[in-house]
Amino acid sequence: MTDSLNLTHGQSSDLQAASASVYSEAADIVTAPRGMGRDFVALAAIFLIVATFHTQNPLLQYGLKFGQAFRNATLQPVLAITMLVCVWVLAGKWSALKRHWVKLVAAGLVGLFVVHILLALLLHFNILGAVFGVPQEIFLDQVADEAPLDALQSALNVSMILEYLALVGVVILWAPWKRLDTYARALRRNAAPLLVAVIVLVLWEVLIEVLNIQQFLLPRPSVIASRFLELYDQLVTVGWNTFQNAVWGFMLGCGLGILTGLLSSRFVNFSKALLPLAIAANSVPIIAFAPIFNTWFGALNPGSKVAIVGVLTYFPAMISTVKGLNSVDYRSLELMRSYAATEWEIFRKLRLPSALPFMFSALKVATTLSMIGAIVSEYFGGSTKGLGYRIREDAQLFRYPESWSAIIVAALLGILFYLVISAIERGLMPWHISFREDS
Amino acid sequence: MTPIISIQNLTKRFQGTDDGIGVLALENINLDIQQGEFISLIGPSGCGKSTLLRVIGDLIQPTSGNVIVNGKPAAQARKDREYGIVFQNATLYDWRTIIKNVQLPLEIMRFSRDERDRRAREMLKLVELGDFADKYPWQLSGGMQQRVSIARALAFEPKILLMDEPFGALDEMTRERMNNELLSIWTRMEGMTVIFVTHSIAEAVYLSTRVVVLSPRPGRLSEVIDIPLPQPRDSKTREMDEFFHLSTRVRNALRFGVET
Repeated sequence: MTDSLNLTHGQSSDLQAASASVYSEAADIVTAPRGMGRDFVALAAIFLIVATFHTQNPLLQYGLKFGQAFRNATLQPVLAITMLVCVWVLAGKWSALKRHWVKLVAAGLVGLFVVHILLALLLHFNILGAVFGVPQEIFLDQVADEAPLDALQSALNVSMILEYLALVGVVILWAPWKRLDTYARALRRNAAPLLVAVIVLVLWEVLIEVLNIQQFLLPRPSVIASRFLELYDQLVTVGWNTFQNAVWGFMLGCGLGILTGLLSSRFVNFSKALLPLAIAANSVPIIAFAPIFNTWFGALNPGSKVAIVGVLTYFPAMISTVKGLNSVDYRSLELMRSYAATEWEIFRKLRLPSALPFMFSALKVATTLSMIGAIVSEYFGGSTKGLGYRIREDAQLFRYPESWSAIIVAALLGILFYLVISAIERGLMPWHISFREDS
Repeated sequence: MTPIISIQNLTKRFQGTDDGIGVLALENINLDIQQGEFISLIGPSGCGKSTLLRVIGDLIQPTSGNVIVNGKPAAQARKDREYGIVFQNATLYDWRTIIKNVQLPLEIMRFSRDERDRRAREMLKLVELGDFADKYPWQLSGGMQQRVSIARALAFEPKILLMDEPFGALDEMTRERMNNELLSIWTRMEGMTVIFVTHSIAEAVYLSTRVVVLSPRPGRLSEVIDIPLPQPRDSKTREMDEFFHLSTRVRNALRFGVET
């Protein structure tokens, strides 16, 4: 047999074309730097390690400014499990891992941190506390003590060391220094847009000075940056509050969307009745309902924000799921028919896996939608500790650099959310065409 | 001897969208196929040879007429898992490794885990892809993917192998090598009946024990030509006078079909 391995990357499959066509623009632009999927996963892992560290330490919930961000640590288990997925993707195949002891140790360090977090979060058992003799209640109760127990402080220090070690482990597994070629290529390919971005920033900075534009109308980038750094702690706090609404809404909307999508492919009449309505509803500017939702749930109730995000993300998730389930190649179906497979087997072994790329492109679009929903819904009132509220309030008081700083935080959180979903996608479908370049 | 497949007065009309008349794809086909035969269906594009193959495999329903397989209707034969199918493109599932693709029918037919693994490895060895078990389909060339799909079709030892232009997308060299491999597999799987749709006269004559020539739309049997070339066949077969003679007969039958 002389057939050589065919490793061309350019071959575009129907699948990719189809998944790109669903919610193409947004997804395409962000996935443009191909071959950098691993870097995205690594960044997502780092974000999650930092986030889980700060959500799981009761000490950090008071006193420390940064810790305030994570007071409502409702998302802990979700974060922790997502982190597990990221690390799993980064570590790669066991057969490859066990040949490099450095990588093995690195994976071990990350694993140690993950285990330590999972024990604390899911089983309410803080192994470090146990080692240092801190009663479990002290970890569970929110200690607002000015001078924490020495033992608690030691446990916390060790926990922090574990966090740093885990970060080092991720960086070793990620091995960015081995990927300089990829970055150089990505840089070259994206040289033009980067250049334009730099030029725009420079022009922005210079023209405001030259044309003598009022600072409050459009602050200079350097002013925004310095305000951003000053307000960083507060911004992260409010950003995290808004982000939580976004994530809960995302899980609610996408969860229900995928569920009804799956049901409607199973019950065709249901789908026939529902799908046209769903498509019509998808073109309704749902964000316009925000004030009404505020009345329904109460403006101060985060439920109103979560509901808006849920409705906003529901339709894309549902439509993509239905589309994905029905986009199966007829020959693949004939093959299943020739095996006399049952509907359930066809669903599980054919429809569901081929729908996954569609679902994930919808989920990725939904990350952006959910941030939009969470922020805009706060414009219509609600908690004062949210990004949307901050942006509106600062703008009304002519504190434009502050508004801009909040917008930067919103953008960063949106990007991180996207990266996390991409990382999960990568974990679930390592076979998919968009990940082939660097495998 | 009772035929393994008996096609009786088969007509297939595809329902048109508006006019209600539709397209007559196959008209009054009668054909008996004996067990162990290698039958090629050949005809111009759009003559309905793929349709005929799909009707035999109970993937589409005939408008009238019957297909009797082993004394039972085709639908029952499909439920009894007597058909293996190979399409023009390999139709491998992207999310499964090569060996998992071969195991797909075995999973559905509830073979035990050990048995699945054993058979899949054996089949991959048969198509000489034993070393590629854990690769994904995209890592293989087109010819290799097609061999995987043959291994998948054979894994559960179907009595009848239906092949719809399986080598149509391959280059000439690869196609000839695949022809030889297919013949050796057919010889080894004793008693397996193959129905093979093709565009290529040389391929049909080289592989078959009988060539069935279909006329252009609507597809009718224009001629059934016995191919008494000696077995086993190899590159020398292609140089025999008899080979040229039979190829000419098939070509004439095709031309005759076009002129009427």
